[in-house]
Amino acid sequence: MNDRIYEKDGVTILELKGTITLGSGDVTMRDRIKELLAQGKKQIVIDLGEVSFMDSTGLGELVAAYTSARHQQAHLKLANLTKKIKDLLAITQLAAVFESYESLGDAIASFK
Amino acid sequence: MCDAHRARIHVHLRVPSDLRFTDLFHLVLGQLAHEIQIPEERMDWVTLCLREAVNNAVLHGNKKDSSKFIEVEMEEVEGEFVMRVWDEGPGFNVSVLGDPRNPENLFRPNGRGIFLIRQLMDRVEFIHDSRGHFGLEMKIALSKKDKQEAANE
Repeated sequence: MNDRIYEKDGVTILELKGTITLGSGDVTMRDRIKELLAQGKKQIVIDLGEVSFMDSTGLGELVAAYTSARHQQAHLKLANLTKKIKDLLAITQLAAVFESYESLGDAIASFK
Repeated sequence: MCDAHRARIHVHLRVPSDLRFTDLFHLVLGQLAHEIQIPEERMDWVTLCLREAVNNAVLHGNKKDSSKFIEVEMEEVEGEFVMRVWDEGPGFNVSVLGDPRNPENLFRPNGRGIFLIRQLMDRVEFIHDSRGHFGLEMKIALSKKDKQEAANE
């Protein structure tokens, strides 16, 4: 998995590309979120538009990221979910947990 | 070649119990999909379920003991695609698995693998063979029907 972190309008974007599965991308995502929270970032969007495959471990990492953010009074939102990831969130009822947006722009604007 | 004369495909792989082989099974399944007409719209789910079952066998069935083995079978049987994932553990009591959708479990980072398999496959059975090995058998119909349509029949 590849990742990129950048700032836009005061919001931190974690852009992920590739697969997030057990042993591939899961630890990277966890480490990036940990780093961002340690830096004091309070408004974070994970851009999942280029994530081609996610398993239950990937879902678990999203949940862990969400709870870690909440514990640090940070807000974590999702953007650009693929149909499959939307389906996974719906099946597991995690769709009700995450604030997710159709586009990155919408996610960033939601912080204003 | 006429379908009636086509030899039945049955893939059987046995490898040491290690997560690095999950990708191997993923690749084999991808190749097999060229031979067995797994509905394209369900292929990602079939792949996900195979990966979940293999990971579960390595981590929980064989408890990360790389001296043990896992076995994966994939075959087409009477209009269904069947996958069986075997480990050397004793199995587990399915009834004690929590529902990850329950409020007390919703924020847990784990506990969704078997749940997803049961949601996404048409039929799932927990089985034992004559050696006492534990197996997870997963089936999907090879027609275009989705799980709900199959259940309504």
